[in-house]
Amino acid sequence: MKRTLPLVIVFVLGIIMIFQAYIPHPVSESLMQKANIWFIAMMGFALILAVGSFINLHITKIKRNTSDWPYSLVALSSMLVMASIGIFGGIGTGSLFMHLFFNVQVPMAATMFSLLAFFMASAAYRAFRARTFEATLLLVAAIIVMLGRVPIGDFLTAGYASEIVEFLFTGPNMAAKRAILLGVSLGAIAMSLKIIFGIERAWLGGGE
Amino acid sequence: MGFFEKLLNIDRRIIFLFIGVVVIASYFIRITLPIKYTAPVKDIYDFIEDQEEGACIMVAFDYSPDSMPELNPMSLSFLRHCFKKKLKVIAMTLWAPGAGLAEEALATTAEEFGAKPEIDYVNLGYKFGTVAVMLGLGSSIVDTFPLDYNKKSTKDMPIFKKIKNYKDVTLLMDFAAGATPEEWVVYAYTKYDQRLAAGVTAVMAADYYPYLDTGQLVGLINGLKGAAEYENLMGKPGEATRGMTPQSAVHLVIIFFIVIGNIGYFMVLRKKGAK
Repeated sequence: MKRTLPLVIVFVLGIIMIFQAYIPHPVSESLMQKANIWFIAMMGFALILAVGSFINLHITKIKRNTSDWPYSLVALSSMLVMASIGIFGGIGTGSLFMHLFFNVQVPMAATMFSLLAFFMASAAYRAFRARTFEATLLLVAAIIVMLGRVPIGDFLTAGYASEIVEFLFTGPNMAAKRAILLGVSLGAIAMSLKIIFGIERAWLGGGE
Repeated sequence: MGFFEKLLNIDRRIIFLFIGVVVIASYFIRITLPIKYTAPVKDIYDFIEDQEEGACIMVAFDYSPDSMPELNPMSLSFLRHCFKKKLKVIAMTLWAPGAGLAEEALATTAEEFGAKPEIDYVNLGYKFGTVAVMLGLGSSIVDTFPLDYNKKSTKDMPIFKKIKNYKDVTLLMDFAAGATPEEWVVYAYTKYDQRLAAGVTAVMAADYYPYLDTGQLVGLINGLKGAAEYENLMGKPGEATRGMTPQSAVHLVIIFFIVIGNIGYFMVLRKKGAK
């Protein structure tokens, strides 16, 4: 029963929602609206689960006194402080929450992201070596894209760099991307059907 | 270790130092170079330019502070364009930190053009449940977002007198640091024929060209360069245009290191071959 009931629910709802997508009738549309409301409500529970999991993970780390436990303490206290300020003081313009968001979170996040420029420069220097024909192609494409995505590239190449970049994006890139998209989509359809028909049961979890 | 071996193994700290010095120096040495616009950016600009007063544009701020330096300049420029054309703007986000960024961007740009909250624009804030929200907006915007960002009821807002769902939205513009444009295509374009456009970070832009070709995206603003293109089309250079000098300098430094790394590699290889 513990496994059969979820399988029946998934099969029935899965089949109904597939047909619903192809029936442009008011009853079908109304069904989808109701399903959406249910979906949003269920997502709310998922959020509770996520917060619970976050707290549990960090409390365990602190209890076990792992090497990076002080970071867990910072993560937990930051969440508690921001959540309390947001819940009790509001999140509107000019609120303390927004002051903290713009003066603490924004600069910290921007700093973390800007560090990427340094690591990418170092990684590009080490990785882009013309060792093989394929590596040379990648290297040449990378240099052209880097030139084509800044005004100085167009200045140095009399405007050709950005035109070649557009060709690379709309030609070879798009062909490869489409092939990947088609593969991923067919895979997703196959996986969805396997779940609906009960062939794929990993989502049920272990045990009986 | 010979000279070419040294070229092959430059300490990463030297590269970091070069990047740091170049970025800082390029802020003081301003070189203004002409910015050539690309077709996907011009297509968005032209689309907004062709809209009549009162048309509704929905703007999704699906990004967080880490990608703010790249995406904020384009969202500000786009909002300025919308308010300049006296279009109605409905902002929302599927990324929690985007709600505050949307509020700030709207407050900054609306004031410049005298746009009034709840009449000319509204920030609906964040709603959990990506797909459900996208589908819900096709049925009713007010039912999906009963309250706006400032916890005011959306039901009685003047902006929603004529705007009910996607049918009343001329364009949905997604400023994204993640995969949301693809989801908007699947759930808003395919199901509701909602016209879409996107502004994305440069590393993601290549992923969205297939959607441009099929017409599923009206246009695409690609990274800081795309934002600078939009600023220049608007005739108001801002943060993105200023960012082009450091970005140009950093790209040249990276190319320089790649080139000397390859010179070192081939010279060492040649030496080994000679031996």
